[in-house]
Amino acid sequence: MFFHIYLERNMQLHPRHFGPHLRDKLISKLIQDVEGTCSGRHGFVVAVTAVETIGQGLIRDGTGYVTFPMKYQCVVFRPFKGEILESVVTMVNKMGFFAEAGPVQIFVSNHLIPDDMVFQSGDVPSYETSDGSVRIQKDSEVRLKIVGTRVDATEIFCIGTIKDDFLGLIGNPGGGA
Amino acid sequence: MSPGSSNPSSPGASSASDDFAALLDEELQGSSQEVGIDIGDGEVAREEFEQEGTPEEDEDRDEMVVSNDEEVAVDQVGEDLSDEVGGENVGGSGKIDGSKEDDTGMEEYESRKRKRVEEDDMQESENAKGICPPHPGFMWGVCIRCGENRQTSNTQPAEVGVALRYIHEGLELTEREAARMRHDELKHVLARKKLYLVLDLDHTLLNSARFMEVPPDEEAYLVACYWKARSSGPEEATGYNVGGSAGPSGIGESEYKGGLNRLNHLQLWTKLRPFAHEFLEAASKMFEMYVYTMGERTYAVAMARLLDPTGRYFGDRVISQGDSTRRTTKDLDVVLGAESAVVILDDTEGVWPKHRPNLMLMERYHFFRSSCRQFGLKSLSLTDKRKDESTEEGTLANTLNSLRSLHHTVFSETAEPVGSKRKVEDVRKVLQTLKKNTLKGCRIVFSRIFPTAMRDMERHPFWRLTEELGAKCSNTLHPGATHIVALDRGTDKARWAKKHGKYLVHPTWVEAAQYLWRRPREEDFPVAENNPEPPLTTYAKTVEVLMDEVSRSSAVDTEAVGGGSSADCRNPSEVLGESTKSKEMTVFDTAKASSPIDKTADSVA
Ligand SMILES: [Zn+2]
Repeated sequence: MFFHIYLERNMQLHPRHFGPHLRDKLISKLIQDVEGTCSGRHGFVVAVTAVETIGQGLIRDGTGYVTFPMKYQCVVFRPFKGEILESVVTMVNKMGFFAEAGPVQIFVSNHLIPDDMVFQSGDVPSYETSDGSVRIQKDSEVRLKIVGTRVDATEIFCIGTIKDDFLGLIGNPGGGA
Repeated sequence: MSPGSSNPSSPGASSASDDFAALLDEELQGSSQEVGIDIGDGEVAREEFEQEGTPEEDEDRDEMVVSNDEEVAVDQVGEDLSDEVGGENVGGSGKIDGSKEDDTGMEEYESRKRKRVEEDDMQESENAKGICPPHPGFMWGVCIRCGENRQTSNTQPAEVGVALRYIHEGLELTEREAARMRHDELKHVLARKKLYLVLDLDHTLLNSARFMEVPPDEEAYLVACYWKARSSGPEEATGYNVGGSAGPSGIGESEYKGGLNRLNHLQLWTKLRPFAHEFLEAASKMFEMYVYTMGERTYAVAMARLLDPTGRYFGDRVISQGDSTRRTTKDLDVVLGAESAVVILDDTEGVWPKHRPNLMLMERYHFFRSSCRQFGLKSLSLTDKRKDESTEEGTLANTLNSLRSLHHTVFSETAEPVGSKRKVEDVRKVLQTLKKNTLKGCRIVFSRIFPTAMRDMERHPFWRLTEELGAKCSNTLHPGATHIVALDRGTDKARWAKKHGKYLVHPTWVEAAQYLWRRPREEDFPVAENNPEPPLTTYAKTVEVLMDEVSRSSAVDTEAVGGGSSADCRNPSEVLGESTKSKEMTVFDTAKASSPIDKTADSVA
């Protein structure tokens, strides 16, 4: 799920950047530092949308660096249990398949793949229905539901299922569904 | 939003933030391992959380009820599954069958396993169709079925599982789940008329030597071989068309040249055993193949890439030391194949203490001098002899033949069509039978092989080996004897053999039989006068590597077969002759050109 939230961060800046462009410098450094990162609590920072306030700088003893408390608004992406996501399959094996929804890695085990879909090894491993009408392989687009997450300080892993109504294949590489 | 400074100035944004906080708190409730910055306004959000949480709990309860109703049906499914493959599946995938006896000294292991399986069966029915706990396995520490975190799951003690890092970092299955996987897999694999083949790397499919272990003179030879092969163009030199993107250009510095590879990034020379690619190609049609090595991951992956540039033979089934559940032995527990359908090719018996019946022991491939040294062999290495194993009649070709007959036997037993309930022979039984045919009909009398004072010589490994190979053994002379096995011509029994025209062979003859899977030619294993040295140090046929003839630019892996018509090509010990003359070779090579197997010859002609 995407959220537009406020976050705070203390930015340290080298004294050589002090000058008329101090503010720009702080903002660009902030964007550089936080966009694309993942914190276990907030999820992935997709984009910084606004900088609300930049507080008083505090000179750090001994180094000359100055710390500015910054408050900014950003879009974060954070998967939740129960959430439905669209994802792209990255790897298929006999245990199940892996998929990615943006920066999030999701594993769908064969327990959570419908029983009528059977693993086919071969050059392109896949899960297929017996009539071949549905085929999940690498690069397939799949709609899945998150059943569990593990949240680390820097990473989020998800376990997903396609064993439910309206879940499963939504598109295959090359266009066919 | 840090404590104190909360209440963001814009109200619109604030609500979004609050929702987020609410969701977060719901998610994080009860999960103690969260790390992260404290957002701070969890207090406000708690109420929302209660509302959202309630319906979900109800849903969970519903699921439980439904599942319980299904339990009976599930039970039946479980039994059906076992029926289909269970008959021959001795404890293999952890199924009910306890009736088979195992006469190969694995009783203890099997019974332990059976016991575990019986315990498992209690829970099997629930576990087969989706009720946690017990959790079948974890990915990244999250249950792969219900999504519960392992750490927060206090419903059961953490179970020791089978880590399957080679499939994916972070994947761990319980024994039960692994058994279920093996079970399911077996059906699919058998339906495709396949079995499993677990391949060792070192000394089985290839031989490696570190740069630092290669002395200058050996290196000079290797470099000469390497460049000679290289200059002749990749495809002719390899004698094997790797094809497409998998071609030499794709492999970079480790280009496949006559099976000899220089891997600068690993500081290694690696020589593939002759026939390796052909072997894999042919075996892939009969087996789902695994690489299983005690080497490290980087090494294993690099070697797998040499053998299988496109990954079509092994896929992700490359198991290295870190993946093994034990440090010094190999175990099929990480292999997702039922034990009744696995064949292992390895040169070291000792690393497979639990799976001897699955093992086809391979003669060690010692190409480099350092390899001979490591095994304390006094004989010359193949590089010293300027030789290599024969492509068409070397170890891998022999092994392929054995695998073919094994595969044939396993599947010919089934008359029923594919898809129906089928009984497939247990690979271990078939291997045993094949082995017993090796020296069938031989009545062997040992002469001073065992100390006279020795009791229970029937239990000596050599005695047992001889019997496993199908020979009848005795330590006392009897008129029905066909072979006298001795180290010395001077013994009474040896003289008796000479007098009565019986075979007098060196003990290595028996060893050779074990590797060759057929009765070796007795003449090649004579007992010399007062000579305790074995007549042969290698059993596989070797041939000279043609290095010195400039005209044969492609010759690095061109192996001339040392004499002999195709009729006695079956004899592995032709090696002994070492009578290869280059003129003969020319003739022979031309003859070989007509053979479809060896493309190498094409480049020679
Ligand atoms: Zn679970």
